[in-house]
Amino acid sequence: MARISLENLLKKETAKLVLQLMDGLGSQVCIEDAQGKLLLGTIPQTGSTYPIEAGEQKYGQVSGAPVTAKPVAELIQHMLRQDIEKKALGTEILNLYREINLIYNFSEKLAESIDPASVAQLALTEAFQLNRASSGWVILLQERTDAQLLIASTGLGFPAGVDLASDRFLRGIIDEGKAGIISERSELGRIDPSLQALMFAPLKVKHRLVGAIFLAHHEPIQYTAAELKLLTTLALQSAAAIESALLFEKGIREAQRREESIRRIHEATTRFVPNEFVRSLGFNNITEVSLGDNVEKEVTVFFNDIRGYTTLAETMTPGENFKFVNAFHGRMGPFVEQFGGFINQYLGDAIMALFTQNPANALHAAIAMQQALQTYNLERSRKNRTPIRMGVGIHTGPLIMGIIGDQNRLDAATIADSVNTSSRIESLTKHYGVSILLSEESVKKMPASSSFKLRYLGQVQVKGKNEPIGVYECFDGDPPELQDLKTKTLADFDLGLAAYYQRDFHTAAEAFNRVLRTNPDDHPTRLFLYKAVDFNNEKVDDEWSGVEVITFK
Amino acid sequence: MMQNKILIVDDEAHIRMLIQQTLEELEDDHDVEIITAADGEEALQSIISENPNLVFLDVMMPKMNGMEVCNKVKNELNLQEVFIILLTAKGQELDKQQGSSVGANLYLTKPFDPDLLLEKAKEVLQLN
Repeated sequence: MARISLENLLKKETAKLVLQLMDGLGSQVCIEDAQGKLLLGTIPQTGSTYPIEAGEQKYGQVSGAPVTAKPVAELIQHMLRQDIEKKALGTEILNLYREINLIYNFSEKLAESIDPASVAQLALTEAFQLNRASSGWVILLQERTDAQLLIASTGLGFPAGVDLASDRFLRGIIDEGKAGIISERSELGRIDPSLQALMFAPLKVKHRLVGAIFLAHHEPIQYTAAELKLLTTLALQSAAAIESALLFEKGIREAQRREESIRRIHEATTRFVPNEFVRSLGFNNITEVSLGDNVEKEVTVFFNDIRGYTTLAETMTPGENFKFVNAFHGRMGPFVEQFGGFINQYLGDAIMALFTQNPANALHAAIAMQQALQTYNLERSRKNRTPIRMGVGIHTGPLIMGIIGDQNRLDAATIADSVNTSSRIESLTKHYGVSILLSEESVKKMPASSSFKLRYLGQVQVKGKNEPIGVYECFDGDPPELQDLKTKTLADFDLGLAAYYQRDFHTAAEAFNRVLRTNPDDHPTRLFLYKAVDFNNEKVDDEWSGVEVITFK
Repeated sequence: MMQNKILIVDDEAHIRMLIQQTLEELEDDHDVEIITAADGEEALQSIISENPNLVFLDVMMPKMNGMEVCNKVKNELNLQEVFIILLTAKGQELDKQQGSSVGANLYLTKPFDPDLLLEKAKEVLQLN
């Protein structure tokens, strides 16, 4: 607070007034301050002396003829008292303003903190600056468990001897929900014997108690009402901020949990509906897909099937069956992905896969599967189990991938003729006794550089189709010795088949017989040989085109 | 040595009073004279006639705002020796470009920190 002195007072307008008054009253006076310093006039030889006082304090005196000195002293005293009052008021207002400024800054800082601990820490730091304290702490009551939690502390920190979990004393103070001061050593000793003063304010949001802020001193001081008021203001400000920080934290946790569960659902759905399927529809995520979305693409459809599975299944319990099918898919499935395809569906013992790139990829996968099956069969034979045989059918054509169903139940589906065709071709592997069969469409779309071991097996009209399709056998997946035999006899086989289609059944039969002499167990050759011999004996009619008509599915 | 003089310019009387109160110890202990003005025009006249060393100048004022006053003093009248501290409301901070283009030496925000205000005044007037 600024110094109040008679000297300063007389510097202002007051001096002018005093001089005017003296002039008017016709005599000079002398004004001295409390220390006897002459401030105005000259010390007179006669007259009286009048003190200038405010409160208990003497500020100076006026000497001279009573007629002048008395009113001058009264005027100065009056002005001095007003000045003192004004200054006191001004100081008080300034202090209030200082407080407003602090709180303003505090709320600004609070707005920048978003986690409860840093809000609490900020409140303590601020409280430390504004009040006398050697340690401070903030305790929150946890929402769900109602347990006390020390969220921030400063200075000498939280008393080491207090176990918050079992503490009843501090909890009692918090539960009271009121601000207060404790200076009784006996009471303070219940917290920490070294404490000499304590004040606290509740952290309340509306009427809900969230905790309390404590300031303590290890030296004998007496907390004042003004300090408590300031702490209460800080507590009020920080409680709201702590509350919103807690809500924010809760919101984040909630969001993280939701995100995690969405991620899990997404992960699970991609196992049912392949990502590639969703991506081919032009979406990133299954959740974006809706009923009726579809895309038309040229796709290679791949089918495989365990040969004679029904018979095999009869020898197993349902549980064994299930394990067997899963073991089989577990071995075969990965090859689809390895060669850039994706599994559209598991159909019992069969796999339906799609290859959106080149049909050669599907064929590579088929070959790899057949080779893996040979290894698997070695294992099985060691365990005295029946070897498994598998047929693969491949066909390339336009296909619509889309979402079908109703509002409540959606399914990823492929709608295409080529799916049926591919499935039929797969069935034909049984008829021809080959492991991999693919349509002429697939072969045509393969790069010229492909060097698969292929054998043309002629035209087939499958059930439900009007147009015949050309089919090829691929024998890259056969055991090496069988591959050799098929390669060696390929020229004769081709010759036989060409003659067969030209209705030259005699030449055809001769060629097929030559093939069988080298490779006696070759099923396709046997099939064509029987037909050639048949047709040779019974003349075929003009309608005959050589197309193999298949009546089974 | 010439007497130090501080001009406080604000259209709000209570702000003028608060600043004056804040600077009171300069008045009492360092013989600094404090004068006030309630609008931009008054401020400009006072700066010309009273020649203060330091001016606390509010930005948002009727008639002539603090920016204009500052611009006139610094750029038109070319009174470089007067130290001008602009006072802006929080949330309406001037961008630095704007402040320096009108030639302000410093600016503080309102509500101001009384201790900081006093410290700056002492710094400018070289009082300790």
